[in-house]
Amino acid sequence: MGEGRAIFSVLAVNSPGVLLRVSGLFYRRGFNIDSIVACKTENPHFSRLTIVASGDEATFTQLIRQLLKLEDIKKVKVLTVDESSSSEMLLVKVCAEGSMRNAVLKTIQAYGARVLDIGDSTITIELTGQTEEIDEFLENIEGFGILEMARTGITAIQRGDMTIHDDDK
Amino acid sequence: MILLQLNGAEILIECLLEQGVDTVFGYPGGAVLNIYDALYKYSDRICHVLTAHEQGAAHAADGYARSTGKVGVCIATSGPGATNLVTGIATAYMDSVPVVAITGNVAVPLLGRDSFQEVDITGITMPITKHNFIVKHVDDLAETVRKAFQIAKSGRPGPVLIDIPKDITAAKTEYSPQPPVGKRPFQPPKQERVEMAVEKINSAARPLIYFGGGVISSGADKELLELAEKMDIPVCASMMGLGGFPARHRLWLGMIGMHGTLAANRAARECDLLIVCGARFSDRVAGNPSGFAPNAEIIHIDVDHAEFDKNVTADVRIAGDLKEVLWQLCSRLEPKKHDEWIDKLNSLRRQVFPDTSNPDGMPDPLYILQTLRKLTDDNTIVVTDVGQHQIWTAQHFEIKSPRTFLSSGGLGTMGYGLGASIGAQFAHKGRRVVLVSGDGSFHMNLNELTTLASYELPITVFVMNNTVLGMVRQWQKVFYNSRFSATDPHRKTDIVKLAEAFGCCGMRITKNSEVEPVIKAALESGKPVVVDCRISPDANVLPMIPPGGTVEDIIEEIKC
Repeated sequence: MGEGRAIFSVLAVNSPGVLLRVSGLFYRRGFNIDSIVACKTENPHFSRLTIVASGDEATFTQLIRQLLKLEDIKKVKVLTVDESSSSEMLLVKVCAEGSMRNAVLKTIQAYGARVLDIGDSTITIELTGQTEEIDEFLENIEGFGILEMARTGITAIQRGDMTIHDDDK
Repeated sequence: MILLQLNGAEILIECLLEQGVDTVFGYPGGAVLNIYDALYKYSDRICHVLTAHEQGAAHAADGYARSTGKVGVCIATSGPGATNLVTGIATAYMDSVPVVAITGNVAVPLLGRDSFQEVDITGITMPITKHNFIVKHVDDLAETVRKAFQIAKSGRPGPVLIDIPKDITAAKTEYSPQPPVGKRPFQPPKQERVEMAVEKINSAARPLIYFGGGVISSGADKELLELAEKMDIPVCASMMGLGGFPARHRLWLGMIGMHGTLAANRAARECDLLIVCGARFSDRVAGNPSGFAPNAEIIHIDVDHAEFDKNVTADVRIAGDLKEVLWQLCSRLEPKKHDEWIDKLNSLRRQVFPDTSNPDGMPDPLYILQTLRKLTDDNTIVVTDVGQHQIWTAQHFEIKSPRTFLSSGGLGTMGYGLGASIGAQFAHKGRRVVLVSGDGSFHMNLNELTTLASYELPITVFVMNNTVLGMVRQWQKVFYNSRFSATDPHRKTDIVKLAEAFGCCGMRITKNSEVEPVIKAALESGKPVVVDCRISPDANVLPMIPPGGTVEDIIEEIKC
């Protein structure tokens, strides 16, 4: 059983403190969180957490069982890369002075990223995509000088007709 | 439908009454003034026990719950009142004890402003409760209290905290009485798993049952006994399981683990099938998880899925109520005998005979415990604190029935005992409650002697007084080359005078010849009594498996 990463889709009661309960559980039990995203859902009573964690299979099994013990957690699903659509968003502000500006714009175009704002000497870019795609884009613009960046972390949903409300067979 | 217009505090008490609560343990304060006013109003229907300190109230609620199986309730004010409950709540959490802790808080508009005696108790207790609540609308109060009780007692029991701001206890709303909430139904055991277990039990040559506190919480002691007898399987338990199987039974091997018997630990090493019932392979049982039951297939039965494969990986996992699972197993099995296996384990049994030859000699703690056992009936509830005296009691008191041995196993809370004894005595007014403590633990929460005296509780406290912090000192002796750092406090406390100062009786045992007459006098007095039992600082807890070790590393003797 090797180390790996998994995406956990968690349906939780939309109560104050639920994010604290979940992150506290990860902290206490020594599970590593790569990213955690909380959001509203189609049902106002529930919120959805998308957690990317790293570990081995035994850790993941234990993690799911511990999550399900929390009173506010109603459902936990592990989403595999093949069976889910996942995405994250990057906002990054890079240096784009004088002659550099064209080169930056070309890279933006090549990755299908979007220009959000242009300053006197900077460009702010938005890119939505798979984690690997974003990592690659960042490598390519690093040379221009990254002034600041923010990433949302992964959010994901199952492919096909299945939803978090259905039990997998 | 009856609709009453009540304030939050009255609704709280009504909801406690709904759930069948007759006794609460607590301590008043500013943020709970309305709750105490309601307690005054309802004093003919609900008994409030005032302790010396909120920690005592939390342990009392725990002792009440452990000795009855019902949900224990404690109440504290905001801020320090709430934080004083924390050790008690954590103790209950680690041992899966159903407790509902109610705290007051500052009024909702004052929350988050560092108001006087404000503390974020739901934040603080998140890791040590099954769940907790803060009630910010009086209309949510009744449902929250009901839900808290349901959570506390369902599945694997545990503590739940409800934080109620002061303005919520004053606000009025409609209340309509409801029947008490039940437990959430257990998931029925998967039949193919039960079948797998049946096959494995049928084909095992050297089976062993290791059980824990789950047998007590589930009330599965009769089913356990039936399975063990029918299939002729030797039985051992973690400390939390004690009382779940009759000591002295021919199949009883004793406690397993760090201070378990040689027979039980050897059995775990050599068995070919380990049937684990409501236990969690804690490090005090399986010090070395990979070396634990190395030759065995493991059947793990537990109500909590998260216990499966947490510490030791099982071959068959059966999730469900232990009582139901054991009954199903038993009804599908044909009787079997394991004479050779049992004979082998019997040869590893060790009897302990304390030396009492010198009437003026310092008494062996085991002799004190054996005498106490002899002079008390099987109905006696024995409570312990934490340390050497706790293990001696666990090993030698021969606990025969469930809910008669109360001890902090998971958290190991020194100072647990007095509070827990108070809770047990209030739950069982006619029964004898004895506390076995040590001078270290006793000094931690001896303030509760005042509660024993105020309520005239006939609890007998035996302080195994070796003048040192014995368990830690023993470890220093074995693992730190006798460098006794901070374990010899040179205390000058006169425990007899101390007991008297609190309004209890004080007695003392200093030599063998005093053991029986003093214990007899203490038990017969019908009053709160503290017996200062002077024992040697070098009395050790044995046998002992070093942390991280296996039965191969067992220590059966320590040279002074």
